[in-house]
Amino acid sequence: MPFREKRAWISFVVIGLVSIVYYPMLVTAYMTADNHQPSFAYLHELAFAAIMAFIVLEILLHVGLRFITPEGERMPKDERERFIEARATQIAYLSLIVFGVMAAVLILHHPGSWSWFNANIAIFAIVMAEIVKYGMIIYQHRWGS
Amino acid sequence: MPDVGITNNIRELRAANGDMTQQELGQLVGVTRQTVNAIEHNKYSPSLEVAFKIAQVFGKPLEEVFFYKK
Repeated sequence: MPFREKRAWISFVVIGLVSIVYYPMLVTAYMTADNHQPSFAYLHELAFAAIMAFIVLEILLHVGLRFITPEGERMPKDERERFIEARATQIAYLSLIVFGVMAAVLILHHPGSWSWFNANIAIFAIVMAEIVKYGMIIYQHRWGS
Repeated sequence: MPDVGITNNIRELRAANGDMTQQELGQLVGVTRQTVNAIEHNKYSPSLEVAFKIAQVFGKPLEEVFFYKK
């Protein structure tokens, strides 16, 4: 497996895992709280834990990969790898537009007091675009160009 | 870039040049083994620069390495 594909797998899995844990917990917090207003302290703790988990996992796994395959890191991206990344970024941008519009529609349906939830919907659009980007890099390395 | 009209005989040329590996060819032209593999299987069309480098490695003119199928 090419080094750049391994890196894409790491980011794809880490973002996916953190999101799969974080977002259902966030939604559950809103659904189960009195008047659908969970405490800000809990929401902040949840977001902090998710961000820390993301940063720690990304750093550990990328450093580990660099340690296992140091030659992969030294080798500059070749033209096909640059092409794959450019194409994945292009598709991720289109998906960001789609998820961004969906997020805007969802936000319009929530009261102003749900600002934290609304901010998370906007971030979810970015998260999805990142997942699409890394997914496209993996797809093109495996089955594409 | 799947199903491109450009084909090549890199595989045969590698075999004729002492069973050169994809890794070795990749190192000589500055691309990864996976990129050489993608070019060989017509999944990726290389830039002119890489195409010329590959032809140069085998000591052949470009048109004896790459072909355009109509």
